[in-house]
Order: sequence, then C-alpha cells, then structure tokens
Amino acid sequence: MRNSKSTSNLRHDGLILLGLAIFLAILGVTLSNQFHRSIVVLSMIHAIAAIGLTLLMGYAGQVSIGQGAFMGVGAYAAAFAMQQLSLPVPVALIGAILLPGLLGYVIGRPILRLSGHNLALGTLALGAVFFVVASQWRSVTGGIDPGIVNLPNLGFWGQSHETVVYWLSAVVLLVAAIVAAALVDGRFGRGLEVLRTSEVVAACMGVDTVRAKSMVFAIAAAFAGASGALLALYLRSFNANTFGVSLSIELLMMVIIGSLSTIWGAIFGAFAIIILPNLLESFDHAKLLVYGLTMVAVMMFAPRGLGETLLRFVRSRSSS
Amino acid sequence: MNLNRRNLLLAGAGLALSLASPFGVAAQEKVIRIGALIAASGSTAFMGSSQRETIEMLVDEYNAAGGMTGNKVVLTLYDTEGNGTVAAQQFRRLIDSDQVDVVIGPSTTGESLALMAVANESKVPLVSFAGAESVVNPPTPFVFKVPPTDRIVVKHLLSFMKKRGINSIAVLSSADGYGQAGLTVIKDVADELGVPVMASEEFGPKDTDMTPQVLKVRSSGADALLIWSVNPGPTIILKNAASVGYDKPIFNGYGAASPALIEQAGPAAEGSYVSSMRLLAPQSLAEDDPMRGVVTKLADNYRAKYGKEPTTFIAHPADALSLIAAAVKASGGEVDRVKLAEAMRSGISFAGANGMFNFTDTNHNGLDENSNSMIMLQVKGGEFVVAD
Repeated sequence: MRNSKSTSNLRHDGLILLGLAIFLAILGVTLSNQFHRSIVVLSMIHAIAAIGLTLLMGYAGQVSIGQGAFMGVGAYAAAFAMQQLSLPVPVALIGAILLPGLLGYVIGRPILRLSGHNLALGTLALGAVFFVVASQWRSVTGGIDPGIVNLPNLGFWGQSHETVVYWLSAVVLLVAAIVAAALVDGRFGRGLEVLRTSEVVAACMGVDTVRAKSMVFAIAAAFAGASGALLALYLRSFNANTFGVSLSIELLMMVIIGSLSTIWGAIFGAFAIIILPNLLESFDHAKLLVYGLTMVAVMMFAPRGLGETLLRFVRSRSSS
Repeated sequence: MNLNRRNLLLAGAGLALSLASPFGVAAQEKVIRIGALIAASGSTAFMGSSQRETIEMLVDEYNAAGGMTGNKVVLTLYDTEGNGTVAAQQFRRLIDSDQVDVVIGPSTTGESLALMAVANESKVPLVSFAGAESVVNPPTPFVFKVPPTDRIVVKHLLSFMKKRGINSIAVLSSADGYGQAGLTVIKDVADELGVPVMASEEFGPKDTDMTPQVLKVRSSGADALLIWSVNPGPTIILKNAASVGYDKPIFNGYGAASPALIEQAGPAAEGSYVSSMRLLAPQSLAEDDPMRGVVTKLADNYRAKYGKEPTTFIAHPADALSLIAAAVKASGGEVDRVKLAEAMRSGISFAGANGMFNFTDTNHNGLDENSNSMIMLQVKGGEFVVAD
C-alpha cells in the first residue's frame, strides 16, 4: 500500500528501482543459459506493457482487454521503420512508442466514454479489429503468413543478439518504471486515484477527467508499444497471432496477479505469468488444468494480487 | 521490502533452474537427444495431439530396435500451444537446458519462421512440420522440413484438373496463415499452368456459414471450386454448396484430407475430391513401392496403439525421425549437431510416408513434384477412393 505519512513515495520507489536494477544486472551477467535468459527477457518485455496497464487499471480504474493490440502496433511500427524505411533501432523504438501513444489518445477519447463492463467489451473489440487489420493489411504486416520475418540480428562487438536485447529491455523497463513512478507520485497520479473512486468527485475537485483518462490510456498504449517493439526485436519473426486476444488477457493477469495498487506489482506479475507455464510443463496433459486452478486459487486467497499479499504477509510476520 | 521481493524472484528463478536440469541418462551410454516442439494444445491441437502420440510411439519403436545406429533416443517434448513466443522460448530451453542434438517441429509455419534465425545462429538442426515453402526457400543451413510444400500440392491438384478438362477455377480460402500462403501459391501456379482463377473469396476460420461466398463462386462460371483450408471450413462449404445446388466439381487441398471431412459433411461430401498424402490410401501405391510398407506400418501401428484412425499429420514426425536416423547413420553413428545438419544437406534419400525423399544442399524439403507424395481421392459411398 502506498503509505500516507508523506505525500511522496519517490524515495521509497527509488530504493526499489535500485534493487531492481541491481537484480537485473546480476542476472544479466550471471545467467549463461539461453532459456533462463529468454525467461527474464520476456518477463521484462511484458512487464513494460503491464506497468502501463497498471496505470490504466490500478490507478485510473479503467479496464482494458485490448493492450495486446497496442503491443502489436508497436511491433509492426518498429518492423516497418527498420525494414521498409531502413531507420536505425533507436529511432524505430521511439516511433514504436509515439505511434501507439498517439493512436491510444485518439481512440481513448471516444472509447473512454464507456465504463465498467462496456469498456472491457469495447477494448476487447479493439483487439479483435486490430487482429483483422494486421492479418489482412498484407503490404505492411505481411499477413499471417509469412508475417514479418528476418528482422536484423542486433549483435555487435562480439555480443550476441540475445545479450543486446537483454540489456536494451532492462534499460527500457527501468526507464518505464521511473516514468510511471514519477507520474503516479505527482498531481496527475493523485488525480487518477480520485478518478478511480468517483469520476464526479474528481471533476468537482478540478480534475479534467476526460483529458486525464485519455492521457493515461495513451500512456498505457505507449508503454505497450515499447513492449511490443522489444518483443519484435527479440523474436525477429512474428505475425498477427502473436498479438491476439490471449496476449491481452495475459497482460491483464500479470496486473491482477501482481498488484493493482503499485506499479512494482506489474513486474512481479510479469515474471510470475511467464515463469509459471514453464514450471508446469511436467504436468503434461494436465498443464492447463493446473494453470487454471492456480489462477483460481490466487484470485480466491489473494484478491489484491499475489505480489501484494505475499508482501503484506512478510511484513506482518516481521513486525510481529 | 526490496530484499523480500528479490528473494521471491530468485526463488522463482531457482525453481526454474532445478526443473530444467537435464541428463537423466547414464553418461557412458550412447544417446541422441531429440527435442520436439508440438502445438499439442490451443487452436492447432487437432494436428499436434496426434503428432505427439506418434512421436512417443515411434521413439519407443526406435529404442526397442536398438536406437539410431546404436544411439538410444532420448525425447524431450514441449507443448508450444501454437504460439510463436512460447515456441521461441521452448526452443532455447531444448538447445541450452536439455542439450538436444536436433529439434523436430514446430507444427505450424508461423512458429517455424520464428525459430529459423535462432536455429541457424546456434547451429542446431531443425526439422519442421510447416507446410509453407518460405521455411526452406531459400534454404538455410540448419532448417529442414518434411511435409510437401503447398506448391507441390497445388501443382498436383491443377494438373489433375486440367487432365479432367477443367480450364478455370474459383478459390475459397481461409483467412489464416494456411489459407493466405495457399492462395498466393494457387494464383502463382494457376498462372503458370494457364488455368484462370475466375473468383477468389476468403472466409474466417471460425465462420459458420459460407453461402454468400459459394453463390459468388457459382455466378463466376468457373469450371470447378478449389477449397484451401483446414477443417471445419471445407465441411461447411460442402454443406452450403449442396444446399444451394452447386453442381460443379469441388476439390479440397491437403489440409482437409482427414476422415473427419466425410464424418462431418456426410452426404454433402459425396463426389468431392481431396488431394491427400498417401497415408489415407496406402493401397494407391504399387505392391512393390518402397513407400507402401512405410505408410502401411505407420498407419497400422498408430491404429493398434491408440485405437483411432490416423490423420495425415502423423506422417511428418515419422519422416522427421527417419531423416534423423538416416543422418546419424550417414555420420557413422556419431551424434553432433553440425555433423547431423551436414549429413542432411549432403544427399540423404529414403522412402518416407510423405514421399520419396532426397535431401540435398538446395532442397531442404527433400521432395518435389516427382516424389510421388500426393494422390487424388474422391468421396464415393461415404469413403475415400483413389481417383487417378
């Protein structure tokens, strides 16, 4: 929980951030197994989109089941910039953040007139529309077959592609976390929290609710875009199936499993959701069943998110 | 707080590490570690589940017969759920944690494309079950595939049609990867053979009624309808066509070649054609054809072990394992990633279930139009019978 003694959590967030940076750096230097690295890379990449979704869902209280679509926009934008416009990777990455952000703002204004279940359905439809466009606009996306293939190997100076993507993802994740922490700490974040409780109250307190909601939707979309672009860089080949509804739901689960009330929960959730299926591989045919039961158990016994509940448990133990 | 979270994450990573540790076999024994990536759940489970059964069955058979040139086969199989991101992860798990010598699969084209770069850069031979030719054309050093490409199937289909006096076609294809790849190839080959495509319509893989598309096909005046989709699309189109009284011949590509087509479409399938691999009709091969024994044995063993009719998809893992066995033999029983790939590139020939294979430096599929892969079947009296 965000503490109420001081109005700023930045000091506290800074410590966590430092811890996270050290943790990722240690993993980056010590992990030599490509599979273990791939788990960390994919977790970091998904965590970026999940942080964006936490801002939208956890802070502003607006559900989205369409974040996978914005990841897709970011991925295709990055691929288009690199393959058809021959732009360097950093420029492509910036494009892959700006385009979904802009798109998110434009779409956000009308779609956020919906709320609750209607908003969930609206964003779900957004994801479905994206899938149709991505699978049919073949001159840009390559359709479902072959899709985007052969993105460049980013290896340089003897560093492998995987290593480069690892550090790139780690840096983007840390920057995303800093941006998110700074956003929620200030006036904007407090406005969002009031908004979540009651839009009327927020409006009465002078929050421009329409603008605030569209902004946070755009920010979440931009985060998703960065995440999608990194995923594209990592995989080097993908098609519209990669960014289907199941991805949006996975992102949603990351936020719910992690925590709805702090951005750090999203990072925990992303690692949990990416690691879990790999641990369950030994259950063989019963894999999906065990996965489902685990999720139900988490929802029942840790409705505030597994990350947050574990944290509270540890805290209460250490204080007693 | 900081420390606790770090501990949690470390615990997670530790758990992953402990589960991933390989080497269940004694060190002295000669083994070949084969990794398999199969879409055994998710939307492509209709292919993957039978492929998984086949692999498990065949590995037991190889080991009962003394392994591959004295090397015991150790199988590690992961389910990719038909998801390219998961496949990319599992592939790294196979090559780094499980230390496999060769990987078979994945089941779909999209997943295979996602693994090609990694396979070539980490120098691990990959024998894919992808249909589309983009996986092996242009050939890359470590990537191979065993199903016949779309192009071989379409050429077989259109040549058959021309022989039957069909001079123009209409195409109905699914709006998914299989359909999109097929449509491109169909237009290409039709152009080459001089068969005009009078109409071409797409449908969603989950659509439940294609009557509007069938009506467009009917009014286009084409001599025949070619459907390019996996089930259930073809089943629904056959029913729609029957109910609007479409009277021209209907052809299906190999994606629909399964007993399910007849079961589900019932009388509506009567008279329609399916281009199939030999597995559905081993009797179409001459008694002394080397493929006949391979196909019959595979189908019979599968039927005996699992008590259900085999699909044509089970031929892919069988041929992939045959290719690996031949490569191990060619390199003198020595198991090495690079040497296996070299062996596969340098002219391995064998009779497989999908055709007479001849892998070369330029043909990483081992098949072409003359490999005797395809057979035209027609539904008559509720059964597939050979049409040519």
